[in-house]
Amino acid sequence: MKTLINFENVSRWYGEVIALNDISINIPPGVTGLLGPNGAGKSTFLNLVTGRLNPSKGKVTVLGEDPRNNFKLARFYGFVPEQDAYYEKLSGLDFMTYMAQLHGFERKAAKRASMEILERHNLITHMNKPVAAYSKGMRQRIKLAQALIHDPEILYLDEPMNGMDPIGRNETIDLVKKLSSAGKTIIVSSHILHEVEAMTQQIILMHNGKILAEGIVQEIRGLIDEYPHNVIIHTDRAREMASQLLNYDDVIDINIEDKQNRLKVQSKEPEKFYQNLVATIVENGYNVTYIDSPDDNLQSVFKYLVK
Amino acid sequence: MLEAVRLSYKKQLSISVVIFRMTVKNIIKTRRTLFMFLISASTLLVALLYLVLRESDNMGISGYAFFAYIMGTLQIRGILLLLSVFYGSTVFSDELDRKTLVYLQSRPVSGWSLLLAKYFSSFAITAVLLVFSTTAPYLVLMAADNPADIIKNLDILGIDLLVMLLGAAAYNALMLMASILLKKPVLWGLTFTLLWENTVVNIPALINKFTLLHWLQSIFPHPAATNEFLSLLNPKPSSIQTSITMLLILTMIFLLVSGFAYRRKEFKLN
Repeated sequence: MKTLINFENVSRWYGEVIALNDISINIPPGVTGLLGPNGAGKSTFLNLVTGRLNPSKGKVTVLGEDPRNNFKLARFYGFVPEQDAYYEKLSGLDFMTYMAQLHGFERKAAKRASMEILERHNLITHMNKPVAAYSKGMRQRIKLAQALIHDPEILYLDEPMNGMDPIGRNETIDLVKKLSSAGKTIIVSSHILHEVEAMTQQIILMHNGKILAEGIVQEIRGLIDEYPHNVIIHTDRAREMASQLLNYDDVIDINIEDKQNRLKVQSKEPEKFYQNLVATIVENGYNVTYIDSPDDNLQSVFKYLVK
Repeated sequence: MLEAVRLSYKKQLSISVVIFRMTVKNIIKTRRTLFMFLISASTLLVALLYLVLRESDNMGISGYAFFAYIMGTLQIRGILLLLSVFYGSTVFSDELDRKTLVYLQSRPVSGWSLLLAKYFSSFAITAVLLVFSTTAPYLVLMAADNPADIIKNLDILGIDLLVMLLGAAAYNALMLMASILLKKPVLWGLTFTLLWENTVVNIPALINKFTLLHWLQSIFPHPAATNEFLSLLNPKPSSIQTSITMLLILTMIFLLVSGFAYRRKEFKLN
């Protein structure tokens, strides 16, 4: 697979604090979620790929080049920083025009491109207001818009949905998906698992400067042999189903909540369990109203990995 | 893909012009500039005050002599230094303080384009205010003596303006360097200019050559004000040619150090 971003034994420390610890990774095209709690090393990771920081050890390459002091690379990426930082006195339009001009747009073209992108991000009616008067959600949207003004190949998003309302979040998720289907490479960092999950299945789990796991969600779970897989089932005959499921050797525990006819099953082989479950339901004619696996949510995987 | 990228000098120059314009526009809108304008207008106010007092007290000092006095006290040792410290040291550090540097660093803008644009922005604003604070009292004081003196002493005004522009160029470059290398550059700048520059410039032998003020005063057409004790030390000026050359070389050195420091330094905004 083609690699756009490559980390080779990269470490980065600030004084005695280690922010990234001997990371080696190749990031392919598509959407990659950078996931971890605050202090995991996500922002350091993004600062290294944008060339704002130097690795203390190892080598970072983007499109085959060292990004440090390599301003040519900025043509190919857009960066949404985590910081809530703006030229507060500038209007939204002036801010965007300035950002476009820094990419070499002529003033008229910069203004035109800015208006188009402000329109796309529902900011056109506020374009003449100073950014200082924008709501938190609008500020996040214009931060995203400035990174897209030059239609970059790669997009780095550092906690892009901080402070956004649910509608803004959904719009951002849709935008990321749209950009991805248009062939863009996107690296999005977040500490909120379901946000990343909504955008991509390709994730890198980070904690204390280390990569705990990488791959698609299912692959990551596959790496965790001992980690039990939870399935919640709502059915009309919970006790009867429980006694049947206990016959399968992959099932290690079942909790029954009689009042709600709810089962919580733990299996050590999820693939096998789902096959057996379908067969049991069909053969016995259970009325199943709900099946969910909290394991499909990255939160479960993450909690387990950082234990 | 990268091979196809052409970021010509012309393109970088036009991007520098964009940053220059935006920076100047932002500087003009600040309260700092209103304050700096009032400081630079102080030479005009002092000149007007002198004229009022001259009328009432029949003072014997000529307008030209008083202009020389203003230049030697207020202008070269005060206003020039203050304007350069405040503009030179904040033009870059403002981007750091409001964390907007990240936008400039994630654009195809070379470090040199950014720094030169910032440098010329602070230099331009400082220069405009210095031209005002030099020319306004000149016109008022010369006209009060004899309007023909305005033309007669234009060469003196020209040298004064040259000294101010050379001073603004050197001090702004020094302060830009300080803002990249040091934290709290304004504090350092004020300490350096008001204490080091104003004191060490009066020490003879080689020591006073470690100040920018020495080279500026060597070109200066008026006697520089100093206190009685320090005047006993009688520091000798350098030649005008040497002084101009030194000021230009030092300006270049400060800018080069700024550029290399910018490339090496990691600016943490968190």
